[in-house]
Amino acid sequence: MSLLESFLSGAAVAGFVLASVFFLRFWRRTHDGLFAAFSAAFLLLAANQTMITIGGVPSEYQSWVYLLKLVAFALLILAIVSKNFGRRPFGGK
Amino acid sequence: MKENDVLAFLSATVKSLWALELLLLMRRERTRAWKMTALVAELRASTVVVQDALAGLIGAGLIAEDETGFFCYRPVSEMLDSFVAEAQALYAAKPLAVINAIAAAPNEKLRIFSDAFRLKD
Amino acid sequence: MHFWASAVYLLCLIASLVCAWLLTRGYVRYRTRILLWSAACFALLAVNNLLMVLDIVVFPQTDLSLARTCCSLLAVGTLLYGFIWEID
Repeated sequence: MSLLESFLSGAAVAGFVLASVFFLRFWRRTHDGLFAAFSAAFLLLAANQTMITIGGVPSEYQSWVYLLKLVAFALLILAIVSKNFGRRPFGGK
Repeated sequence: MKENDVLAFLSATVKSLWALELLLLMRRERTRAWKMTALVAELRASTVVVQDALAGLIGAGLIAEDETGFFCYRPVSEMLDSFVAEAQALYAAKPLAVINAIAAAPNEKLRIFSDAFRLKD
Repeated sequence: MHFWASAVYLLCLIASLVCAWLLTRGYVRYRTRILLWSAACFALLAVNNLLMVLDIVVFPQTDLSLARTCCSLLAVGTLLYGFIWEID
């Protein structure tokens, strides 16, 4: 991984963490579980990006790292599903 | 009454666009007492949305609930009623100004964000 | 291994596309700009996942990781821009 790419990747990690913190604040303000799920998902995206950058993983798809991303997007899907059909563990106010 | 006063009143007391529709509906038919289910049906809204809107409007002293679970428009003062009347007129004349005043509140933006993930209306 | 990896990224691609579509639909209805920025964020995350799938399935020799990293950074940057200017 080039120096430039490491730099950009690190910036993306910081961005994902910050986005996660924003969603956490929105959750505290509204008590809407959708924001809690989004917060967790973005934290996992940050972890995923971190592992790619410093984990010495040659390419993302050759290791378990992609499982982090799977869980992150599964959380988003779960949040949307329960917003629509669930008994509101994520969806309610 | 100045337009800005009416908009400030709205963003302080009416927390969502549903609450606005609910308030105006109940004022139009102020002699009628409503069951929660009737309001949900009339607005084609969900029970949660109407519950939230009612709670906010009761807190603002615009709507009252009697012991039998009926709701009706009953502002606690003449002044509140005249504010709502102005709001109604303003909403008819400049709907976008009114919608913006309500939707611009940070919490309402978050609600709109969250509601964007509802597949149905 | 590659099969599962591409299946996972395909799922991520679909999830981000769904989010982008729902947020765009919300923007068309309410014209609240925060929805526009979030929709752009998820569209960029979708591109990121698409590049990942392409990387695995179509061009295994070429490394698209720089493009992917740029997509992630742009995506989250867009989202943060929206949060900072539209919500607080």
